[in-house]
Amino acid sequence: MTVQRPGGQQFPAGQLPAGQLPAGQLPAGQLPAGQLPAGQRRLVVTDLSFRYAGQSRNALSHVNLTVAPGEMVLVTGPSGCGKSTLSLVLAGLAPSRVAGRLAGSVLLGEENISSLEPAQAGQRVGLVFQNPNLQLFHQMVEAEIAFGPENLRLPRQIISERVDASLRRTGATALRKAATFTLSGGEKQRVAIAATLAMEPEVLVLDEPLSDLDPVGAQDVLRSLEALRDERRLAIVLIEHRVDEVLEHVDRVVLLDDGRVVLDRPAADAFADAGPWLAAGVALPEVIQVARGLPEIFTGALPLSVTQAAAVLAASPGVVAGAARPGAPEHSTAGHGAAGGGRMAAESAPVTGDPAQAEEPGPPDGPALAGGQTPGGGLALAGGQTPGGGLALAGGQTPGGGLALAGGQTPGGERASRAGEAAAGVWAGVSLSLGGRQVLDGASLVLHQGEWLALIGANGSGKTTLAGLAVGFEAPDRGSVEIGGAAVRKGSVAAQAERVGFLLQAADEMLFCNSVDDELTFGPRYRRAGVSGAEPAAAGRRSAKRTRLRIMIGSISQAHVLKDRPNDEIGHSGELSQDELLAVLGLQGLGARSPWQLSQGQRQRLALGALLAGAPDLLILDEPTTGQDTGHARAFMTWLEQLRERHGLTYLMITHDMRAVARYASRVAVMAGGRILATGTPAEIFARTDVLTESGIIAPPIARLHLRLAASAGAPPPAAVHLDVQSFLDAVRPRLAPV
Amino acid sequence: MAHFLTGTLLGRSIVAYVIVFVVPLVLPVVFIKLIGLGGIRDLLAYEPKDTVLHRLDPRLKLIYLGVVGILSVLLGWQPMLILFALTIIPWALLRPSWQRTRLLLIFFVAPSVAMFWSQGLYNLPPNGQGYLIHFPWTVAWVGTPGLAKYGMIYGLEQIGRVLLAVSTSLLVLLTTDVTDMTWALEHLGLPPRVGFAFNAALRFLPEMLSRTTLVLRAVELRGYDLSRPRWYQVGDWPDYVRRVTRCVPIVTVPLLIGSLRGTTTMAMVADARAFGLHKRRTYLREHRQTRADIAAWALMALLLIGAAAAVRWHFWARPYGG
Repeated sequence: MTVQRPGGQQFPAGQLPAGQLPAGQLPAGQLPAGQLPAGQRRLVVTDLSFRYAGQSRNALSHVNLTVAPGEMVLVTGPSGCGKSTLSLVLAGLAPSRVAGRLAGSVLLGEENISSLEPAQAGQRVGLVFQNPNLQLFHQMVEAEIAFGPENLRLPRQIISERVDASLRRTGATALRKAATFTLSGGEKQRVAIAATLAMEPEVLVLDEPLSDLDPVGAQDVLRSLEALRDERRLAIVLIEHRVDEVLEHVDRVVLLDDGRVVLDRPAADAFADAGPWLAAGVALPEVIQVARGLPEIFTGALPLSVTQAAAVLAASPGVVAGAARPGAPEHSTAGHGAAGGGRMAAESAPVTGDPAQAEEPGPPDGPALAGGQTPGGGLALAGGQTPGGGLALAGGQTPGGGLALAGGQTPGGERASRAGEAAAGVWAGVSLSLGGRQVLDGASLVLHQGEWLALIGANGSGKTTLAGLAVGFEAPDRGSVEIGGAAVRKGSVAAQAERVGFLLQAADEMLFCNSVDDELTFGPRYRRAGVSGAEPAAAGRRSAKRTRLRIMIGSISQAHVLKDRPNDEIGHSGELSQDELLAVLGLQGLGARSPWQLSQGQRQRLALGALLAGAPDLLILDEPTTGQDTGHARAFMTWLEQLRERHGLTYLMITHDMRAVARYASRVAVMAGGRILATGTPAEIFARTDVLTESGIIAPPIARLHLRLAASAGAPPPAAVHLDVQSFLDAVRPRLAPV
Repeated sequence: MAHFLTGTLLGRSIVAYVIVFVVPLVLPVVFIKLIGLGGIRDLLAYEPKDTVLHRLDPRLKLIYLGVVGILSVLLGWQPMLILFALTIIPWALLRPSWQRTRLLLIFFVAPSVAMFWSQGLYNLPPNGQGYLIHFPWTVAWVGTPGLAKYGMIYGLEQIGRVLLAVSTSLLVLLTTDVTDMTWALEHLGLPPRVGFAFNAALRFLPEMLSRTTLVLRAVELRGYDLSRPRWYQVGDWPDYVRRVTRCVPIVTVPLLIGSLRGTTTMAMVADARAFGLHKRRTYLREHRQTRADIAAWALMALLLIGAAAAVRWHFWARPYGG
């Protein structure tokens, strides 16, 4: 039998997969009566349960889900809830390629996906994995996309058509002749999507496709997916943690927790009830928090994007007038941005805060939280207090919550850099060329003692390379690097590890042992054995630091760290047992388990815990929240914040997570093209739209909302923006026009 | 000074120790320093260009590789060296970048010097004559009486054979996209899985090298000291060797597990893209014979005829065992 394609070409039917054949030309018996033609079939998951071989608990339990053509569904949930397992089952790879027991059904129309071979299932349901490097087999993009159709033995002309179409639909036509190793992360992910699309599936499942992408790259991918949904009527299942960024692009939201569907609603209704989200430990998107905090304004559907929220707020005259007021925000607490040891005056903006608003210093120890937590894990702060010691603002609170310090001291008696005290790190005019490419170009940066500096920029801007100079990965071609006043020598990585802990982005590569317990003791074991000629003084200093770390870990409530619940008690002091340390890391009961049996988020926490066991003075965190759900990420970051504030640790954080920057960083440095473009407090930097545009950064939602409102009022851009929901609400509420 | 080095026992011993130890030990250091893992990755990478070599039929290039490999063993060293000189011509057509050229030269020269030197030291002349340098009794414990011209000449011959095969292999890798190689292997009668395995190996070897570098960095970040002592810190070298040796099983775990996990994902992706669904595949790019291909086939035929004649009638027979 031959099949006629548009254009008049004829091909033997056996050379085209069933999905390619027009319904009217399917061989007899392949199209049961009443079955919808391919491209119009719904994906229906009924009572699906799946248990991995050798496990005692289900990874998925009684999951019901329907995805219609032309619908994009967001599936989210805490780490380990079964999202990736669901993706494997939907794509027909489990249990055929991943051993386990499946109950229930996954039907595409009348076709049972689970009963198909992966090669057949792949033509119905395409799966894009998290790591694009593992999905690209070829050296050239064109060959990569043609790979699937070639395996189907399609004629050359059809293969060429599919390659063209896939590149066009993902906006990757310009990459056709490129080598895959030259692509950026976002480009690789788009090529991976294109290669999957070349199989012409009816359903596309993407498992955390944005996790390694910068915000601009992520938006590129999301726009491609929207086009596929709207133009091709593809059914799309998007599994993601980054709910803020994807919410406006999806039609429906499904919340998974512990392998079960907890919530399945249209996007506009998904957050009407915050209970399921809180219970699952998933933070509400910030625009949703704003809307819930202003019910008198948001009387209709909840906004799904900054644009929608701004449109509603702009209709309220009082809100707009407030946003146009110079010097706003007054009470910007920036989460905790003003507290903590070593806060320095903003470097790039004048102090504009109102001295009359200065607050009394809070207690020196322990989180000073007035009021409870907001839904979703945010902190409700009264009077500008922040966790970890409160504020002492003596004339000159900066808009972003940074401090102008008198005498170099922070409130609460915490450590601060004083005049003459060595900075934690100094990069002075460093330039570095690697592989013929200028990676760093005269970058200069000072990292002050006790501060939390976030280094942000697009992929390839040089952030990780700059940070790597601090541990001696490379030596700059020009310029110098000093850590703690001592020059860093290339190759002295283990020696630098005494004072600098570096958590790699690929935290998995930092795990070497057979059990979680062994990982935590790796450093002390091998440092003593591996370092020859260690001086007794240095050994004593390390021992003292380790004891200090054990004591400070012991003072943190485990419950607070684990689930972001109110910190009801200050825990015990003294040394922490291994089990207690595991609990602090959220790994209780897993001490004997192999690290490779943990989820990605768990492994990340383990890797950092192992570094902290060495009690470094400076921690470099390379994308610490990647792959973690918001609940675990926030608990983890809050724990780090408390460690830093109490014991003067210094953090350099490289991240694409602008919400984490807004919430935790005391200062931000923006990189582009191997240079530092600007430094300042988060509130100031996220107000600098010129800098953000040049560096390919998208500000967090509240900051963008503030800027939108100011723009809609015709006011000049503010010098600093709100960063957290509470400060924004505090600024807006007093100005609401009376009803 | 010359008299000291050549006329005194101490001087001659110093010279002998330098010849036996310093020259051979410098070579791997030079190789690692100037090439390293990153250099190997760059060396094996396909160089996307549009040259006549790139456009040649990939089957021709694979067959050429096999033919040259066999001839490098069968031919006497004179015709073998002539063949090696001829294989330099395609490199001139390719015009690699200076960075690639530098890597190639180091990649070829360092092992060549090592082989040349080791043969000169340990491939001893049967008649006990023909030494360039006789070592004094103070060096007798290393097991060689001196540096022999006999061995050096033999080393040169073996270098030529190895370089011939290696040079040809690199030329094919640099000028042939892996997809084309897969196509060629299948059109030479091999199943698609062989081509895919070859493809995957070439694609992921650089990734593996990158990961190895990353894992070694991670080990050091955890406090495991892998810094090398200075050459003159002789007492620290045994400890360094011990540390490096102990590190091998430590890094093997994440490397292996990461590779296996990655392999699992790759296998699932390959399955999802229907690899193995049919015994044969179609290809986006097909190769039609061009005039350049016909000329290249003709040249290879001449090469085979010439080589067969040389072997059959013992032209320039191999001096060592024929």
